[in-house]
Amino acid sequence: MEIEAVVNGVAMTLQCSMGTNLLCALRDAGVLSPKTACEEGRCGACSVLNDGAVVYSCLLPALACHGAAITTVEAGVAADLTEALVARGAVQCGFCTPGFVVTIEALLARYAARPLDDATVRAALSGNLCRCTGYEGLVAATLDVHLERTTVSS
Amino acid sequence: MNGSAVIRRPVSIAEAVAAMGECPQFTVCAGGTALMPGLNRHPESVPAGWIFLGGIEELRGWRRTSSGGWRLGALVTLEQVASLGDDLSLLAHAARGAGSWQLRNAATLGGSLVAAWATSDVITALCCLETQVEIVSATGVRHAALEEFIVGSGHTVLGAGELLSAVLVGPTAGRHSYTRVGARAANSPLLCALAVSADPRLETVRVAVADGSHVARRAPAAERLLFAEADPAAFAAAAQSVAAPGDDALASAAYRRHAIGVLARRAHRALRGGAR
Amino acid sequence: MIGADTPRPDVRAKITGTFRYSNDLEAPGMLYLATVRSPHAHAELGHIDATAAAAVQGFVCVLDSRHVPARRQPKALGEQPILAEGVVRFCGEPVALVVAATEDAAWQAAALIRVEYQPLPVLSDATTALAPGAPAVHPGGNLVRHLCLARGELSTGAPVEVEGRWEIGRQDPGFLGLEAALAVPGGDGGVTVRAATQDVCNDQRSIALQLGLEEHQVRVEHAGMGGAFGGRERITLQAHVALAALALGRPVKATYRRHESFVSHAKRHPGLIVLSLGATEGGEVLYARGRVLLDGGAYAPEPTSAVLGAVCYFLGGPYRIPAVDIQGDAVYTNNPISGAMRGFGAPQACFAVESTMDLLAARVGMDPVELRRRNALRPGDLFPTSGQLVPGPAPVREVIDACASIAMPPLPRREAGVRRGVGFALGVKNVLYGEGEPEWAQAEVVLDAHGAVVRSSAAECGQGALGVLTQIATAALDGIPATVPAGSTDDGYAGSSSASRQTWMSGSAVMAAAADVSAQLRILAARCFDVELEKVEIVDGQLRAPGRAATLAEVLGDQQLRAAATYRAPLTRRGDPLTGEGPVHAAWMFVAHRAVVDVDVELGSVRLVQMATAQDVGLAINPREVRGQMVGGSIQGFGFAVMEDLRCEEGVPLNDSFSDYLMPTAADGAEVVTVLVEQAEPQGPFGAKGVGEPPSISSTAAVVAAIRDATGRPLPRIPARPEDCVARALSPDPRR
Repeated sequence: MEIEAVVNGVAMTLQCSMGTNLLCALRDAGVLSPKTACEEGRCGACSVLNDGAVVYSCLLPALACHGAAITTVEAGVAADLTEALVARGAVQCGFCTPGFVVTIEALLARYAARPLDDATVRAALSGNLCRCTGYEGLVAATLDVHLERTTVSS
Repeated sequence: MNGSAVIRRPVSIAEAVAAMGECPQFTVCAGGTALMPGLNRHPESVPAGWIFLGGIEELRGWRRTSSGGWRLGALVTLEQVASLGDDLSLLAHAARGAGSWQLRNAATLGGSLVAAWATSDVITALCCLETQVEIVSATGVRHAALEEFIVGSGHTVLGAGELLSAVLVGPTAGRHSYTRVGARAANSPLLCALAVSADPRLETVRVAVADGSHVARRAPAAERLLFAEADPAAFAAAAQSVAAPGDDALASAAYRRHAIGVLARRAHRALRGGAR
Repeated sequence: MIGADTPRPDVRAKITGTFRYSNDLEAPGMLYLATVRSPHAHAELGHIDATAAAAVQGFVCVLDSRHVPARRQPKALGEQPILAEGVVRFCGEPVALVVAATEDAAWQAAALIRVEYQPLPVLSDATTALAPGAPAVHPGGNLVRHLCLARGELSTGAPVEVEGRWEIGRQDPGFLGLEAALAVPGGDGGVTVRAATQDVCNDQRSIALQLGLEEHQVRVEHAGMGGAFGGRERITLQAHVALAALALGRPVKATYRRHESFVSHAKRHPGLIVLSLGATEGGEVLYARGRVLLDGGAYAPEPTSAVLGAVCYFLGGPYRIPAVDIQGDAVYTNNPISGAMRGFGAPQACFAVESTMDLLAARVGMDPVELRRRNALRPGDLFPTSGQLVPGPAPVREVIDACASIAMPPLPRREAGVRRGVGFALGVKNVLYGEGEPEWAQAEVVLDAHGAVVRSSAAECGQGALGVLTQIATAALDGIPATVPAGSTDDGYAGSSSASRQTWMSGSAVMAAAADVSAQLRILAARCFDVELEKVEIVDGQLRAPGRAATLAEVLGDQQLRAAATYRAPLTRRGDPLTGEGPVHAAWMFVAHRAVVDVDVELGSVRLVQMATAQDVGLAINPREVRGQMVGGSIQGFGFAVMEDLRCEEGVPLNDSFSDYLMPTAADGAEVVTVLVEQAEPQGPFGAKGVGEPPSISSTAAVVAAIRDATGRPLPRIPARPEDCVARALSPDPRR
């Protein structure tokens, strides 16, 4: 079976069977940045944007996503976020990283015009597990970028 | 591919109900978050067919009703619920603690009610809000009170060919409190939870207790005691008495019972001491 | 270069999603393998019926122990067979393998395999493993290792004695990257396996052993790894895919699901430690008497033996203790397999020692940090258990003081029912293998006009090993850029990425090989420039002599310079069989943590406010990466203190998922303030030593001490769940 979706701005046909989740359908189509790590919506490594909302792709039936617009880091990662993650040592094994990037960008978009603090970032990122870094670099990079973007725009 | 014999994508409630009638063995899917963990773990249990509700606009959105309450469409997500204010803030507060941001963006209010998990935060809150569910079938529309709709953990009275289309919440005013205990700071199933709503005229008090093993239930004895007794102990004991928690890998029954007592004492203090 | 926060070579690819992991591996024509596992913790294995499975579209075959080729060497006692033979010994043990054309078909078929079992009595309580009549997990009994350490004369009665009984739960490495491997048959009876593994050479040896092959017939290549923390030291699916690939003549891939990952890889040894400390009224420790019991699970005696060694040898902490009497037993049970996990016995020992030291501090009325200062090892002292002379540098006192003087977080706003607690703990572990385990590492450097390539089989788990080797190579080549690609068994032997050893071991080999190549280059340049060798310099990748300069390309032309080096670890020996004394460890790492927590004392919920840590890191090759290890390991330690426990009932895991095996999220984390205490390790490359494990060692003990401070509860067990942290006990159990 197949569905048509727009993945990172490009129309794609995703192959799937009845029970396939969106994560597997994406990966089978060569979109490898979302990762299989728990398949029960508890770790966030599969996070993608679905019509702009950050969701667990392992919890979406692929067949439910016909006509959806999906975004992953294959769409490109903003340079300021990339540099902040590097500068803050926020990446070690990297398995969780694409899921975090998607979630962080969604958070930054939501808070583009208002203040963002450490506690809010930590709560927003609590759906993404990282076993290597202890989160400090990820949280700090998020706040760095938010500060930079809100300073520049104001 | 828009539809086939085994995949239905209705765009109206009527179409959905018709599909459910034709194909009762098909899996009805709202957000998918309650269904997919089981399917992922047991890929051998392949659905016979799907009825995806995501294209039905009339299941989205929320508005005030003429009686001063609210009508929330079945597909309203928990993230949308989390942002509600005014007299739905008890429900919003409960939704904010549920799962994670990613989960809340996909999980729906209707799906939460149909799944009827014992660990549901929103069901616990809805117990305090004079809640009815709207059910549509080929024969028409009916309503059921929340306490009649959910009969046990994972069990509702939703029959074959019936679709939960909306959640109706009665007019509410006054104070409320929602507290839950998780096993870590965030993204944890509730170990137990307590929802309280109290009309300022002190005539309507509702207390709902979730013990982690059973869907939240009202505690009538506690409701009578909230304003009648200055000492929180009796209120707390009454709240604890409707709980029948079990042991699991996360916490013991004794702890859950104890924690319910703590939440109750605190709610008693908060609701009697000042407005929320 | 050295001491610089150089970004790792792979970090941008990981951010943009182009970095490839073992989970992403593919080969044309590949088949998929799924594993059938025992639901029983102990049972006789009977008939395996594949009839229903064979009807699944895409089914290729099922393999069980009868399809495994004859071994060349007999199985060692306690060694896990590639597939269960006649008996299963833990819940989740692989019984059969299903191969199919698609992953879905493999899973569907595996679910349809019918296996007959005759349940046997289950040994799940390690405390009964050595009692007469206990079910025998293996023929020959349930003892893996008994170890005695006896040094000095224990006084018959010290002025003060305290005793604690400490229980340790089962922490899982919880790495995010699920196990995955791809095997490609060579057509000549050999096979190449690509996998995420901590040691390609160990994998090679294990696969060859299990499949009756010669080692040279098995190649193992590193594939991208999503973390390890000890859980990839032993093979899990590597021999399975190799078996299937050789049997079918096709590439075969397997990927684990999370619940089978939980039961397959080794976990930290749970156990029980009873420790008494005798001391003067002034708090000077006179002796340590310890009894240790570790639950080794169903298989794998080697890591279990070594972990027991570590627990026992570190049960005196980094303290000056003239006499010790420590006995330990590691046993088999029908529980999931225990093995290496970051810290490798030191965290368990630290929890026991530090908890008992706090009892002592309370008993003699001394500040807990002052008690540590009073007893801390100094250069020239003897290590308490092995009796080894502790040479400088041994900055134990500096680590204590640095940690204790980190600024405390601001005081909280007064909140009803919330109490703040502070706890301190000091930890120690050896770096490198120790106990006489042979240890060496090889590297080769090849230099041409484009730059240098380092060949090493060292595993990059995510800890930054290849980045550090890049920095070392570039520094040893005086700035000529070097790259360190992920290697394979073709690249010599590097040993495992474990024991905090890779910087020291492979770093030393790389440094030597690079220095050799650099010397060759300077000789060549000297000839080119027609000057004396001493006048040649390499500056920023250029060759210079007075009045002369040339690029690498100009000097080398088409030539390639190469050098290989083998670095041997400082020798260690197994301790004396009666006393345990001897040169057991090559060197040590010291670490301190101070935890500040806010505890809701009615609900027992613990919030980390601040973790402060100071660590003896040698000289940091890359301070930012060192900090990354310190922060990450500290949060793992917090997880073990309050939430991480793979609970089993009669050997069956209860919480084999991320829904109920809980690890800290960002919301559980807090600021981790780090101080790097840098005193050069004389034997390490550029003064470096290991840094990966200490963050997991004293962090747990510090958090538990902080919770005790806030609640007054004795907390004899880790993890301390909310119900254990409620200020007033819920149950009448006096121990809790």
